[in-house]
Amino acid sequence: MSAKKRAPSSTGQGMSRRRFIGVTAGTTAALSFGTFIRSGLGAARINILTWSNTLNAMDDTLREQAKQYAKEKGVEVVFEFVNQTDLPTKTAAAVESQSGDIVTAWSDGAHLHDKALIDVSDVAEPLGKQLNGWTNIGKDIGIVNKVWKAVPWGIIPIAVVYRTDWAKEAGYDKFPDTYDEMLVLCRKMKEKGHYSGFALGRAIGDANQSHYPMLWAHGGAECKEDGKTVAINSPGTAKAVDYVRNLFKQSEIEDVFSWDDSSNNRAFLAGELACTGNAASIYWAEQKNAPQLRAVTGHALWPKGPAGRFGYSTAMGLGVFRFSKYPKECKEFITWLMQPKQYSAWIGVGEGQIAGLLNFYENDPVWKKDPKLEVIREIPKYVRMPGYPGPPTRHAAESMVKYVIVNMFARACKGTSTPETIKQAEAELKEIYAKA
Amino acid sequence: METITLAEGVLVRREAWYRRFVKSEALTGYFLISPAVFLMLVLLAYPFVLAVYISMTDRVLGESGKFVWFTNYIKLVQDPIFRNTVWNSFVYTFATVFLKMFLGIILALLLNQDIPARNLIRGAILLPWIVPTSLSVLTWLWMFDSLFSVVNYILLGVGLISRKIQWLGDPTWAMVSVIIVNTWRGLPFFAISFLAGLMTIPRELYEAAEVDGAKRFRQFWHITVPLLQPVIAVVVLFSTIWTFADFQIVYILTHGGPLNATQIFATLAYDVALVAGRIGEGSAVSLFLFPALLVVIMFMLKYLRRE
Amino acid sequence: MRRKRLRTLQRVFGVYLPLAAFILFALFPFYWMLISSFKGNPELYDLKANRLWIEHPTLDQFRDLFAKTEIVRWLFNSFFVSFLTAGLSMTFGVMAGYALARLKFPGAQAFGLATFITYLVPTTLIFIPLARVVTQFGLSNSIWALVVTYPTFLIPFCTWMLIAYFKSIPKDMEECAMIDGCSRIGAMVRIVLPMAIPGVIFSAMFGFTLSWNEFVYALTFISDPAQKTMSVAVPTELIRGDAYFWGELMAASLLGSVPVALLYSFFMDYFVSGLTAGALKG
Repeated sequence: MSAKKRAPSSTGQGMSRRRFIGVTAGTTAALSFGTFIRSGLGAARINILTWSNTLNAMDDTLREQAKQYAKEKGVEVVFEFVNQTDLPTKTAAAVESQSGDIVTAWSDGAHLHDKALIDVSDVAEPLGKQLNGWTNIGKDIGIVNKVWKAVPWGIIPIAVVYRTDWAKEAGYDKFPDTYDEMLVLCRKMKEKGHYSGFALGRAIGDANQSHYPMLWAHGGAECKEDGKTVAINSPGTAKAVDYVRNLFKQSEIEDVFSWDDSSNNRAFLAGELACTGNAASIYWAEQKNAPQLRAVTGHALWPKGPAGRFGYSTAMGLGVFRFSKYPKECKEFITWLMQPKQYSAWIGVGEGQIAGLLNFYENDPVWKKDPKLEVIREIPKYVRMPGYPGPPTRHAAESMVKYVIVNMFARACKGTSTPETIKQAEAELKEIYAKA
Repeated sequence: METITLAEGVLVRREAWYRRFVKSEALTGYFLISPAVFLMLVLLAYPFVLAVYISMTDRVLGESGKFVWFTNYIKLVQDPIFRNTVWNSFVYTFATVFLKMFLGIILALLLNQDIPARNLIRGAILLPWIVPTSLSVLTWLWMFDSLFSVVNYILLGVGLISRKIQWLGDPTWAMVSVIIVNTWRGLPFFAISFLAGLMTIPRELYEAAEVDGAKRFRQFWHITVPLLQPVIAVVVLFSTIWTFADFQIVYILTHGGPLNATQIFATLAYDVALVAGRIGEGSAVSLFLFPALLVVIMFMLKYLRRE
Repeated sequence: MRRKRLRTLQRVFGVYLPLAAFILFALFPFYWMLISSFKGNPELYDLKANRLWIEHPTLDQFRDLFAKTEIVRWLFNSFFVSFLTAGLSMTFGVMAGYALARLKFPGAQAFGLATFITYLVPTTLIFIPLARVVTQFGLSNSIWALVVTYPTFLIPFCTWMLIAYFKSIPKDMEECAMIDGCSRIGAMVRIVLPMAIPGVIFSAMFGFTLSWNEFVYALTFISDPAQKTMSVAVPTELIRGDAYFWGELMAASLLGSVPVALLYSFFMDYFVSGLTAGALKG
């Protein structure tokens, strides 16, 4: 791959000459010359910015499919995989420099960058018709102001991952269905020396994915349905804060404050963790790194609270930049990629890492492969985005990257009183929601 | 131009100006600095001016935004998270610069002794500074891991602590951790620079002091410190600026957490500008200290010129 | 006799022990890097294993690294970019430094001041506007983007330190050469430059190091894995989703550290003497 991909448009010998012209003829000349060179390329070449999946094999599958597509349609497709924490940087650079074609809109990405994306309704709607319609969460992340701005590509379903053997020891054959019962189970496991842990540190994924559901399930929310009015100061939030504090005090390992997204995986694989919230990546990694744990690892839905069952999982959409030179080719490729032949192959390799957002894929063969993964296919039904019950706005995104909700819980676990920690979160949220 | 009828005086003056121009080697000078000037104008000054402009707009990624003067800066002052960030940045910067200076002088004095394998030792000392930060800080992240921390392993092993330290999980320890790593990385530059400064101090001065019966400490205080002062000033100034702008160490180790305890200018700017997409406000965060630092650097230049 | 023993003791406690502590502090992370990269995954993630030693040394991590990634390519890219930018910055730095040290012309002071102020420009955000410039030049996703942008933060340093260096060289010799009919630039190249070698090498090394370390520009301007440099490729390609591949990460970090370490061990004397004569005079 390297040799062929190296040479396109901008690299190679032409560079020094182009820079020379820039030096002599001034910036303007160089700018127009650069544009000229790039536009004179001929065959379409699409760049897709996305994250590197925990499973190498999933990325390999995409590369293979791209190759196949190039052979069939004569359009070169290049996947660009970056570490998920670097994705915002790359997206920002792409938007600002107006280069790139397809971008992976990360959860609220389509809402954040909607001005930079084109309308893809003519892809999303036919796909919905063809494959039994979109799930609600698919619509939530894809539709901005009634227009499809990203084609929902899938979510990384976050489940409760727990040790079935220790749960059994504590008297539970199945994972409990309510948060109160879950607290009892986790406490009993801790009494036997088996700690649980839900990240309260800088884990942009796990920390939020574990604690937003707990907030919502107890009736709390950061804002009202309009997505503008801060509503964190509510009895529901107070209940959630008390619950998280109890859970922490009675069952969790102290390390959670330092955890990043990878820490709970490592702790679980080392046999040090009884219960956590994570994607199926732990179960997958056990094959290689802890085969003895595979039989005693279970997945469960997030329990129900007084307000119902909720989840938050990172979702991905595929958006097309408005400055792409090949919008038509991009849309065709996305349609092709979402077809059962390609899509099933991809999530099949993923073994539960990714779940589809078209209803059709709820019955994908991947969920029949392993009974331990079966529960995961239900997750998309319960997933909401930060900002719920409002839309996933920029404000909600900002409060998430500033860890306002997670920090509210973390302070409570460190000893701050419930009204005090909610008040601080409210002040921070008001600051954020007051912005345009 | 000579043929144009002009008042004689003007003509003469113009000729003199022309001659002066060639003779003063201005042409050569401009020629020699032109590549540097060109690159810096196009790739540094222009984007920088743009960044300043962006910081005065309410721009979000992908949109052009309105010009709002200093609104972003004013709002920042009122923001509790930002005020906390300013405090953290000062603690982080002053603690690390002080540690690096203090330890740097000691290390430089040690390295200036007659020691075996001198170059090898100097090379070893310099190592933390020369390897890529993105890689070495990852190593520290792994050393501070909550479960596999080798630092805790050693401290527990030798009995210095009885339960493990939450290096990156406790607000205070997290600040200590990033300070340790920054010191680790920056110390070599301080030490080697001070060492270079020490080497320029003539030995005769110490010999004369010895004859006069001055003790080691007095020698240090009355000869070494005053002569090393300009070097210390320069290195401290640069390090202060670099540390205020530091991004990678905190970003990789704590990402500003826990509970915003290590949130500093660069990490907050990153989150606000890139993850939440408010690049106007984010630029304001990262340029917030620019005027203050500019004043400091001007004073510093004056001081250096006088020396 | 007693005096001698006292002196030895003094040296052990006053010099060797503190120095050993400093060396331990500086090198321990590299030791940890080294042993982590020679452990297999089972040992790496075994809480009961002795963490300070390798019980079952293995080359697995390195084998995976070479088989699954383009590490050779990344190393090559890092070398390529660093050599080129160091050379470029050094050349331009010598030119500008000489001009500012020796020639008087209007604007010289302003330029000198400007180089100083560039240190205040925060790179973490400047890349946003810069990304646009780079794209307009048609350079995005190519290592040439790095070759032209890195000198912007290297030239000021090189210039600034070479000014001081050139000033420390007596003017007489080049003046003699110029009376003998040598041009200004001829005198600079033939007379002054050879005398300034330590300073020039120092600034080149400094440039090489900063280029080798640079992260933010390399991350934003380069997308193609085959065009990445070590400092960016390792964290972006070896941290996948919610998994850090610690063994491979440490092995790659080791490979990314060794070349610069070797470079410095060869040129250590130049580094210190260059620093002595120039950089710190302001």
